[in-house]
Amino acid sequence: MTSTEPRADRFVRELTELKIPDPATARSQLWLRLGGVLMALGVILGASGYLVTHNTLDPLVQNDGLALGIAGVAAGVVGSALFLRYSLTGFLRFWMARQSYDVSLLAERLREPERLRDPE
Amino acid sequence: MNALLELRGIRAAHERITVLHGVDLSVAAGEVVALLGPNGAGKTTTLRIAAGVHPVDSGQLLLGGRDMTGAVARDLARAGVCMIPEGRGVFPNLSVRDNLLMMTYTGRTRAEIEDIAYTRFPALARRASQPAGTMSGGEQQMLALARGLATDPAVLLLDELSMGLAPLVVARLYEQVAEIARQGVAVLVVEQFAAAVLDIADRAAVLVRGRVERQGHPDDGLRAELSALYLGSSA
Repeated sequence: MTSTEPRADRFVRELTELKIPDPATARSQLWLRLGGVLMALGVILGASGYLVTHNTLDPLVQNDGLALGIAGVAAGVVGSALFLRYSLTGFLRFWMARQSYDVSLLAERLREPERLRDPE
Repeated sequence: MNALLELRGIRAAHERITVLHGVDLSVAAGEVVALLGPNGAGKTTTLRIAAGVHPVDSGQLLLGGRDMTGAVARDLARAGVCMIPEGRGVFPNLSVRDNLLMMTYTGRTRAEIEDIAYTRFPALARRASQPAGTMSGGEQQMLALARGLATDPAVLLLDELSMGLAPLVVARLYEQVAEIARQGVAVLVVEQFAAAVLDIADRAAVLVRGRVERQGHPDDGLRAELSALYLGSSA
């Protein structure tokens, strides 16, 4: 940062340097919803798999049911991961801001006795 | 002069109701632009779009000539766009010093931030230990401005700075806003009550039902028109 550079010029320069994700590619809400849908789908597939395997004595159909159940578990796991990833981001950002504030406050408190001992 | 902030053909809605119908507005560095109009005209929505906190249906938001339409608020804030919302946006239960300390996230030290704040608003220095919520409205607004300045803004967006304040206090605050603009900051002020801001504004835009009805220098003609058409009283 150069102190002689006008703020407006610096603003324009920083904007061009700023790595701002293309809004068109910002899909966080979509991923969040997809995570929710996959979680629900996982439960439905798991329940379907259970019902399919328990309502037949045919091992081939039972295999299909097992595959369905495993697919449900996989969808649930992937969905949960997506949901957590995109819902926690916002929360963690505020948590980090709070941490940053607490640390600054602590640093100020630690410096306070020194300041009282040596006032300028 | 190149615009630091430019809105081109902005259309936006609340829920499904369109509140802005193609707003065009620009603010250059060092310029104060007043966005005026009656209640419900879409002034705050326009400001929120400029800050990236309200989505646009169509149109463009340009900052320093770069298309930033749809960019999230934190990126715009990082770039140097600062919005001081209606209601001041201070933490009422924290002291003045702690309110300023919160701004150290910008990378500036507490000493630097306090220096900026107390140099511009000496009254805040005397209230450093006082909870912000117990100060007068004018002092809270000073604190909000000081917090905004701590971010080293290039574009400053002010929403209803005068709300609930005495005319003398408002005049003093706007003197500070003019001083901030003189340092090269592009300032967009939303006001329902035009009198105070027109004294310092380089240009004024009148927003009525989501459309900029008139834009230009705040001359007597504009004042009279405002008075007659939108404010319903002597401005």
